[in-house]
Amino acid sequence: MRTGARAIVVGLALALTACGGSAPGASSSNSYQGKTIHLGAILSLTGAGGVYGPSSQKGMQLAVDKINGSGGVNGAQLALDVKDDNSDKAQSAQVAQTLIQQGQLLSLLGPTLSNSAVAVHPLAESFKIPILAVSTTGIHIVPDCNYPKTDPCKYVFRDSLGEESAIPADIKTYADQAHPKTGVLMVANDDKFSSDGGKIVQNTVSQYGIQLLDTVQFSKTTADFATPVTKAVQKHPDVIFITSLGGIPAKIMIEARKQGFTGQFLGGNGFNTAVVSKQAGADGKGAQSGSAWYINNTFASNAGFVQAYRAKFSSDPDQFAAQGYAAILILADAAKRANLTFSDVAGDRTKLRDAMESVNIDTPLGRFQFTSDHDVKQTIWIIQMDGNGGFSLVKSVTPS
Amino acid sequence: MDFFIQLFTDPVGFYNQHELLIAQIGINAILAISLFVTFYSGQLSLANAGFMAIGAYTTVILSLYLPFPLPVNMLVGAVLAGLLGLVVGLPVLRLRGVFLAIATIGFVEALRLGVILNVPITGEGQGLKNPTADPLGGIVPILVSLPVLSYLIWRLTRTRLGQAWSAIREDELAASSNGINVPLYKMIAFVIGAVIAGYAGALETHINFFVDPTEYGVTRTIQILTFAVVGGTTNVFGPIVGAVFLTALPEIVRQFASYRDVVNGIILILVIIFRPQGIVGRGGLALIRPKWLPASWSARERPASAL
Repeated sequence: MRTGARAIVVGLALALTACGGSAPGASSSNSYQGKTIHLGAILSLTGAGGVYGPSSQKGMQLAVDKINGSGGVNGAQLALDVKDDNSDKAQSAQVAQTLIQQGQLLSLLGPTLSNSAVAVHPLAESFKIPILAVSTTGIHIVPDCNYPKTDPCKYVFRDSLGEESAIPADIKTYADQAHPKTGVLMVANDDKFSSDGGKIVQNTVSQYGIQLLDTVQFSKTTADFATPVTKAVQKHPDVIFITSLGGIPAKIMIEARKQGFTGQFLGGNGFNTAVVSKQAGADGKGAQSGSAWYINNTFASNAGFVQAYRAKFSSDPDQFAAQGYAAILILADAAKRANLTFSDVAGDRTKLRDAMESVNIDTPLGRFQFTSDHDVKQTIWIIQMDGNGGFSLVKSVTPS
Repeated sequence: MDFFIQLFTDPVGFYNQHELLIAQIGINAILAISLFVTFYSGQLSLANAGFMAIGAYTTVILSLYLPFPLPVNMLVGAVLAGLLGLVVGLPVLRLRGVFLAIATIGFVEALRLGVILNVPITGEGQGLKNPTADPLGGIVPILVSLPVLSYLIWRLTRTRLGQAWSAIREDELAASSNGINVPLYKMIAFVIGAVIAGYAGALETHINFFVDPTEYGVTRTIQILTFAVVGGTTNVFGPIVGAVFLTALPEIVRQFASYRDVVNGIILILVIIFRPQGIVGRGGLALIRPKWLPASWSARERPASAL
């Protein structure tokens, strides 16, 4: 069955190229003609990460279709194999190993969750296959995935905006404008994403003259937020920082307003989904966070992406779709310049890795280049909840 | 089907592509053994995830700060889990049945939320990197440990100790009036279970690069209990079969894509309905028995240790 599908893909590739679609630069590397570039993605399509993974998948598929439809990569077609990891770390690593050892993939994408990335990325590194993270925001994703060895990872890349960039940009923007004096941090201490965010807030606030009066820790599984919120509100801070996932930020905002808190809410990627904004409703109005992408941004390739996405899926894309889409563009561009042999997989993986370091293309996230640490350097969109389930743009912060 | 076709036509390729899956199956089987030991002595203890955390964290922390070789660290992890088992066992083993289950779940959560998340050396919510992780080399100790442990426990259940456990399981009062030191034998089972769980935790960090508190919560505990229930608890091989079956199942049904969880669940329900005594155990299929099948094949036994 699988080889059948592959034959069809190759057949399509031949048919398309035979139709005379001359890809740019095709003349220089005819060895690509009729070949297939295999990519594998490990995404959380089910389980806790199931709210993010499907968006990434749609974005990736859109980009693959677009590239294949316009002549492929120097005539070679892209084939994307998406595997679900059930949001489970052990399954994520198992799937990654299976994909790697099948021996045809040139690169991996994912996994969706930071918690899985800590297992999958070092694995990819030890097998010397490039891996491009598309949605992970935690600390220790790149560059210091230095387990088990101590040198930085060479094969691990990320095109998603880390909390280490998003949260400080958000705090700086607010501090420049409102000059808050005091703050309280509310952090869910039982998952990596949230506690990473908390650590970043603790390390950042003093730079902007904000005194952290207290850090209130709570568990994700807390049913009633009245007690932790009271602890925070009774310190009368100017700002409450919230680093947590899912519906929790919304619950905290509602409870804090009920208890008479009138100050500002600041946070990270946990705020950035429409669901949270909707849940918080009027109580969340003005809650401010840093985001990797903004639907109405004016970058060269963004309008085309949004339009194509709406046409194909009849819904608006989100940050994760944009990051997935950009990831495929990045890999396609690297593959184009890598002089792949299509016979020596190990050699091709290393060539692709080398080419990825010099990617410089237009994506919906803006002009894209990796930093020397293989991380993203991009515009950060500071957004506020508008009280009606949406977001409004405060300003954009360009990378320094 | 791809899964089985490859298993039989290309076993070497299968092994290479599924090493981590096989390793995880091995770890889960060892965890199932640890639960079996307490189960066999008639105690529904759900503390395994906690002891596992002790084994895992001890191994990683020792590897981070002290120059001892890995096997020593793993051994220390397992022994420490056993010592903690002794301490925890003293109060909780006075409880029976579902009360013991609740108390041990309480222990797991207290350890995770109270200790691990509040002691800086554990990395708190952020977890710890394991400097000695070796995902593919890690499979060897697992593949060696599993048969050794299952043989040892199987032999153990046939000794005087095992017979004492059986007696306690069947009727604690009768066992005690026959001169069996019930608290002592229960404690032995509890500590052995703790040591094995701690050892499994230590083995797991070796393939996982990372320890973090989310791994060792109630979900994990329930998962281990499921291995034993689905596999059957009449002898040590039941939980092992349960662990193999349940760990491999998500991969086997991967081809159903978005219906994977549904198919996974249906298979599980079918097994529980038709084999209430577990996959391994006496008797045939419950509920439905074709006419041509001798009556003696159908399950007459309800699970002995439903507690």
